[in-house]
Amino acid sequence: MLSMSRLNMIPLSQMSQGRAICRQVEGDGPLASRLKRLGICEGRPLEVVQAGDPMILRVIGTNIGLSKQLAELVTVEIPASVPAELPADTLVTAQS
Amino acid sequence: MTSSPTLNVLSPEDIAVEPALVVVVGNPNTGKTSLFNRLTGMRAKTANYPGITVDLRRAVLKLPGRDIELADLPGLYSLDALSPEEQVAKSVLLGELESLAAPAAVLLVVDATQLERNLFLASEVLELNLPTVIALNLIDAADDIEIKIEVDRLSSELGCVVVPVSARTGRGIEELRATLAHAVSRELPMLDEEHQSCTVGCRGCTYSARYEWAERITSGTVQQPANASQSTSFLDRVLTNPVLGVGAFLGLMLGVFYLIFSLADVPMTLIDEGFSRIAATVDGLIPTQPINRWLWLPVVGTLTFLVTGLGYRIAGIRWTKRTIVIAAIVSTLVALLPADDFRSLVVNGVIGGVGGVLVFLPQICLLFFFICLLEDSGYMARAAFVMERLMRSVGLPGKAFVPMLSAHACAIPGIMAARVIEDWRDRLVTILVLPLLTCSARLPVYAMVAALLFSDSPSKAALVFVGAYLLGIAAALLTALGLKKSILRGETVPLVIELPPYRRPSLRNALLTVYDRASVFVQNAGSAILMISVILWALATYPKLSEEQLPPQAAAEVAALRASAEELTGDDAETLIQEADQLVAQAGLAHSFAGRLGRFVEPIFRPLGFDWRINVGVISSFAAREVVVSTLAIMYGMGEDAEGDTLVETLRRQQRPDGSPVFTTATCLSLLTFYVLAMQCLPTQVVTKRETGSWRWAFLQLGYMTLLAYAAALIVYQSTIALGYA
Ligand SMILES: Nc1nc2c(ncn2[C@@H]2O[C@H](COP(=O)(O)OP(=O)(O)OP(=O)(O)O)[C@@H](O)[C@H]2O)c(=O)[nH]1
Ligand SMILES: [Mg+2]
Repeated sequence: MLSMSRLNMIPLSQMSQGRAICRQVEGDGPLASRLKRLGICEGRPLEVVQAGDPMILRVIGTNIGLSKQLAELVTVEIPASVPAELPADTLVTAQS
Repeated sequence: MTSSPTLNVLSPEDIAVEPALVVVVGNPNTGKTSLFNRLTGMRAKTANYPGITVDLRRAVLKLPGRDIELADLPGLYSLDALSPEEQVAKSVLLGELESLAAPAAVLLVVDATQLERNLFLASEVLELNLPTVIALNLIDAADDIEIKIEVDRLSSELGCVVVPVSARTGRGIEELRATLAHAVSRELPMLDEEHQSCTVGCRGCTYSARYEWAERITSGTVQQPANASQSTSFLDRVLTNPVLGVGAFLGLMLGVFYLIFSLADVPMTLIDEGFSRIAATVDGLIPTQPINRWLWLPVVGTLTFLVTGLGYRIAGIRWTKRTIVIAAIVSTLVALLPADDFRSLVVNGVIGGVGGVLVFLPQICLLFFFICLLEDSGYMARAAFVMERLMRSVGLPGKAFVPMLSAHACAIPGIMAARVIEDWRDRLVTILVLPLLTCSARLPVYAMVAALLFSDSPSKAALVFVGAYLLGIAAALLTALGLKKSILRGETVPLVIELPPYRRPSLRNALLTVYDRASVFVQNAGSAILMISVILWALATYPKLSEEQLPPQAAAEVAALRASAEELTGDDAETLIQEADQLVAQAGLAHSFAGRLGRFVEPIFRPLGFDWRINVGVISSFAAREVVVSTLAIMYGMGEDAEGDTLVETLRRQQRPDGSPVFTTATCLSLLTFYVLAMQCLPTQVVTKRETGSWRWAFLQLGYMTLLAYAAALIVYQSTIALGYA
């Protein structure tokens, strides 16, 4: 069983529209640097504007197109204050 | 380097002090190039696509005190330098480039509407402790959306001078100049203390630390209206939609191509006619009567020397001992040519060869123009975004799609457009496969084959075209897959792309870009084309066959034709005389090196169904594929200007020694396949060399395409025969 706090942590690739905080970017090679230098790094807020592959993120006032493969490297935390915005299917996938 | 000569001229008192190098750095798309142009009045590329500037542009800027040399660098997101362009920018900034002095100061360009994001790079650059001036660009755009920045406070927080400017309106440019002058004379205030790294003493991720620092600074200096983070526009939702977006993109591209082909028609005809007229004029100027050798030699020698000099100038070749000797030898050789050969060299070799390639210039320019408008508007990033998924399935990034589309007009702009692909390997693969796509120079060949196969049925002829296009596309995609799995093994770098706000494209920028890129084409390809045209001319002309040496049968025919021409008058006589001349030309070509080569390689090409005359066509079209049509016309005894119909009829009548027709279905299909896949374009090779930095890749491209073309034509010919179509 996942605890409540872990439940809010999902890969960015599984997020649908909404805001979240980036918690971890896997690896430290050039792929991870590509993300981090655009502001997709630990502790920074981001917003999914359009889900899909590739998806559109809004980070520090800029829209960024991001392929799913990279989104999978990113773990985000959905703030507890906005659980209503989470569609049910996201939670299901998060648990599996 | 493309710095204009007038800007480089230094007056005597300046020579004492070398101009100090000041590099323009900043995030992609922050207006570095626009600002550079504003400051120096010089042309350089500006486009709204992150990371477009590739060539370094430099210009000397006259300032009170000391002159500075400004260098416009490609945009970069961080000093991690993850693309070749970023690598270049970084090494210039750190003074690692041998050909360039270490920078005396940095002009850091930041986007006032995106200050927080831009401060990330700023923090890295400031830590280099070089004298730095920050240009707060796009201040007009910031004003428009009511972003207010406290410049003085920002300046003291960052510990360097910040000048609000707008490259578009010209605001603040004078102040920026004055500040730059101070920076290089080391009179800048607030530079005494070392910049403290914002990541010193922080734990965890340095990236986050920098962004937290940036957030802290912006929160103290920037006031944004509450609704600043506007939602994505309706337009953008459509253009980035997985289905509608692809449709919109394809529709747009179709429109662009339609425009290119319809607009290019008139200038292409004009260039074509212009070159024929020049050829005719020059032809008339060269005296037909023998003239005094001692007059001829110096005149022709000097003229050739001047033309060679002009060629050097266009190609940017310097006068050194070696190049002078080469020019002198060439001039002497040309002056020693008999008058008739000289005429043929000038008219057919030089003017014909250069004209044959320059006809494509209008198409190339139009393509650059539209690509630039689309880039500048911010749309291209969306195109890469929507094409990403499709392209990834063949192992290429979404950004490869625009180059691939452009290559359907001409491979050259396509190869240059491949610069937007950040990953070197992905870029190289794209460049290597681009020439497989059907460019417009292949169309005359396709048209000839289609007419040979199905002149009675337009719909079947159209099928030939469709098949050829599809073959090219399939070959390009499969080759790309193959290359990614073999010599250029590696994961395709997944898409991360900034989708910049839409901006009104600047017509001036687009025109300047067209000018820049077209001159690159003329400079690089022009000299190579001239050289190869002359070589191919020589191959097709020497050794000469005088009329007395004509083979008996041809001699008899020629004599008969001329005799009957004597008895007729007017047009009929003209026709007969022309026929006789064509016979002579045909025999001459057969006798030449090209003709001999054609026979020599006959065993190699026989399995493809080519006879030796087709081989001569293949050889002579080595530098420009469309030449094969006119060579075949000569080889089969037509005038060079034979109209399509008559050419096809003549070709159809051709027989092999055993009496069977030359252009059977199998041979036609094999010829078509060969021309879809073979390189046969020297200008493309030159541009590949330029963009990849080495002949190695150009040779690899030539090699694999030739092999592929041969193998595919072989399979097509043999299987068609096996299926029973003779
Ligand atoms: N409104 C406004 N637009 C600007 C200004 N400066 C540049 N632009 C526009 O911003 C876009 C990008 O300008 P560029 O000069 O190509 O930017 P760059 O930094 O050289 O871009 P890269 O070389 O790709 O990194 C163009 O569409 C310009 O017209 C400015 O001061 N105000
Ligand atoms: Mg630029």
